[in-house]
Amino acid sequence: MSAPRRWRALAWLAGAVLWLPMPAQAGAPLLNEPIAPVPQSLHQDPARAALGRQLFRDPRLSANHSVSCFSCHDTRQGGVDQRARSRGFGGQLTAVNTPTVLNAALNFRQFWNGRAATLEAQIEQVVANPVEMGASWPEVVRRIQADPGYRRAFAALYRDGVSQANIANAIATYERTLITPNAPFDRYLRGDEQAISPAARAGYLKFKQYGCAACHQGVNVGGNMYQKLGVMNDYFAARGHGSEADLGRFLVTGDPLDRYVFKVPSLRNVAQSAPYFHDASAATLEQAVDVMFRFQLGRIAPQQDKDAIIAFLKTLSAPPEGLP
Amino acid sequence: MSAWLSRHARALLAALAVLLAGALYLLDQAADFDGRRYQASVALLQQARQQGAQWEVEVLKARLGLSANYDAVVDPLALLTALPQRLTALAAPGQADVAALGAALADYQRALQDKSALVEAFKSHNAVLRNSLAFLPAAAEEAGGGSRGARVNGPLALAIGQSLLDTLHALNASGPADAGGLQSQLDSLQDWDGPLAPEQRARLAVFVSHARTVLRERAAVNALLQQIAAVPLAHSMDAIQGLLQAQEQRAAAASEDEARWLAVLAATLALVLGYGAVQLVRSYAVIGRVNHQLKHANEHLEQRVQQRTGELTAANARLREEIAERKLLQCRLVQSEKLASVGQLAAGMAHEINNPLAYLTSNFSILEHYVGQLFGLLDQEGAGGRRPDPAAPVDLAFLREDIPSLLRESRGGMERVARVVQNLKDFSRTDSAHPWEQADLHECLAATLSLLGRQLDGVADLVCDYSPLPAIECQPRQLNQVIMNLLLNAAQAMGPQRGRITLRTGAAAGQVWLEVVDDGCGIGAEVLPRIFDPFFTTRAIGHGAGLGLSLSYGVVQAHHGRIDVQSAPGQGSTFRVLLPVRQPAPAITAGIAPAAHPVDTFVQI
Repeated sequence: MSAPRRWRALAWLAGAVLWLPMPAQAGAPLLNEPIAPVPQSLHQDPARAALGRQLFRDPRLSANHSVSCFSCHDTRQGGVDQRARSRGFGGQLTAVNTPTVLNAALNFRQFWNGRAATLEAQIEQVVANPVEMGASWPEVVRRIQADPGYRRAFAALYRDGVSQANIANAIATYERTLITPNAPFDRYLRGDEQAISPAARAGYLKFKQYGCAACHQGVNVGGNMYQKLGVMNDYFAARGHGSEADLGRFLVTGDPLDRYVFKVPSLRNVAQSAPYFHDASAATLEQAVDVMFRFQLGRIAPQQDKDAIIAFLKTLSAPPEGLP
Repeated sequence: MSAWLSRHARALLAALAVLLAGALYLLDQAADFDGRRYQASVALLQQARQQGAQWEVEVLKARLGLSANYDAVVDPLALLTALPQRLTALAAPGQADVAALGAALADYQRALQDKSALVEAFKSHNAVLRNSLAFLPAAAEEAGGGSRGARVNGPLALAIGQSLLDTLHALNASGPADAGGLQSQLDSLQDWDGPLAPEQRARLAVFVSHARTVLRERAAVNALLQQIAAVPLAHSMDAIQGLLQAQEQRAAAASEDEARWLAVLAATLALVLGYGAVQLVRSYAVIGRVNHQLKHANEHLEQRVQQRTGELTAANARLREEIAERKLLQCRLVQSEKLASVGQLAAGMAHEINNPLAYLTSNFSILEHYVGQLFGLLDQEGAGGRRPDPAAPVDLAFLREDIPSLLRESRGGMERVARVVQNLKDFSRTDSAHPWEQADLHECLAATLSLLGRQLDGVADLVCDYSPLPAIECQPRQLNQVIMNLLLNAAQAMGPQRGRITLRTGAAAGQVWLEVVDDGCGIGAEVLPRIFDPFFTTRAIGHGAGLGLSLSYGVVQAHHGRIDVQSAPGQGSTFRVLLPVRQPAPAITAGIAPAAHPVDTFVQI
């Protein structure tokens, strides 16, 4: 056994001895829950993530140098811009409400209608979207290429230097660091019973009992399935003034059964990402919960249950672990 | 040997090049077929099939409510989605069946897409179904007013209870049995005739709605599950695997062929290399041997050079000795020849001198007698007149006539002796360092002929055919000797009959020439080349040493002239001597003179 390995083994041993008493203060991790804690890291290349962070804030990715990813995805404020619909490079409004970039890496698809399988694909579409950033990729690549700092960084990190795929990958790498593993509820799931209030604990119970957790489940509390908006009652009839974006996944598959079907959004950091739904029809969590009870659960619930659920939802917020 | 080697070396190299090219081609072919790619593909497919199966298991678990969330249903998708790309990346470049693989992968992708869509739909419907199902008993209780306890509507509660029971029964039925009945039951519940508080009617509506949802979603979920099971995802993966396997088998067969060829090539290569090695060893042996010999020769070269030099030196010394000996011998021979010729000459001289001496002697005895007679006469005169003795008459007149004649004759004889002696003296004078003199060749001829005249007269008629000659630079005594030798040889060539010797002279182009022509026996062709050799002679031993012509040749050479001879047996010989009028340079004559030295020290007669 070589000296470094021996030292590492000793360090492990010491760490284990020190760690052993710790669970005494915390309970055992909760298992077989519909919600799983966010992993501490998705193990991304820090250098590429740093490069992606820079690109994320770079308005040169938009047609007229007016907006960057950061313009709509403020990573310090829940990864959203708090607007009903965001303004693109030309001032036009986007078709849907901006979903948060935080924990987006944990979604099984990107966009409300799930049309992007990966973060990279999502980035490539947004940059070229005629409303959002309106840029042409060859032009973006030229601009990045023209910057000596970027050129050096890409040359150091990517075998083929600056390219569309590499720009998207760098940004996606950064976005994969924007996860929130230490929300109070995650700590609770890991065994720290005191991490959330009793009200929130009760709310979590209601969340499961009312069936919210039938769709908002998994590590991302959603983001791993599609669901029709208005399962128990016709949401769109009740709302009125339909738009193309209301068709949801139908726009991707063309299957009539996919009409009004959307990706179930993650509820992580939901308290920070108002307004809610693809059409931003709910300005507050209370409104959103009401909509869900009415159109998705088809149930009538006392306000105190809804309040408890909201108390629980607020424990799902945390700043990202990576540099925001 | 070297040409043989180079030809073989070329052939060997060509064979090696061909074999190596073949081996490289086969290796390249073999590299195309990479068993690890196939193994990795198969492993990947295996993993994907496992994930596919896991996917279905998770779907069923979700259907049965055994799993807490859908993450497990989502997870397998990552690998299943990436499979075509990863398989394509693993496919060998330039594989023949890329199109077939592409088609199979397209089938797979279609199946995956179908199945994903179905699973997603299942997830949505299942979530709704589970929620409504979970809520249904509570909804029934709330709708029946059970929670309030007080105003229980008996028939309504019964109907609700029946509907709940039937709905739960329908849930577990295998097919859509009696769905129509249940639906009408629910219809009647929704439109309940009896008086109901609005709140209770709303609760009833919730119950009915959830019961209908259960029925609807249950049908949807069951249909979806059947469709999911029917999607040929596993089958498409089997197809891919079959394709890969077939490809692998073909590639393996090809690679086996290639391996066989490679083995054949390797064996041939080994043979060629072995042959080359043997040739190399052999040529190395030759080179080594030659090298060794060279080294040996080198080592012994100096010694041999020394040895040879020593031998040469010794030979040189021997040669010098021999030359010295030969010189000595030659000197002796020349001496003895000289002595011999002196003897001959002495004999000739004796004859020449004897003749005049004979008649001088006789003349003197007669003169003695005459003087006695005259003295007697004188005595008588003195004694008084005494008369001459009649017995001895003295013919005074006869005396007066005969005495002067006798004296004249004697004087002539004495002069002749003196001339002979003078000639002899002239001939025998040794005078090598003598400078060139201006001399007339005719005078030389005359002098020689005067010495030899009698000898020639005895055997041949002498014909002189002289042309006017200029005086030439020469050593006349040596030329006398040459002429004498030529004349003597001519005289000796004469047969029993009397022959003829012709002397011709002439001058042309700065040269004078002299021809001595005889009609004697001539010289045989076999002898002709040797006549100028020293000691070559045809005479009997003791009659000349055979140096005459040799010496003549040397003299003429010293005079920068030439002797030519034309002769045929029985037709006589012609010796022609060519001499330059002027000798070239004094330096050269000085060098020549000593060489001629032994020559003019002797005279042959």
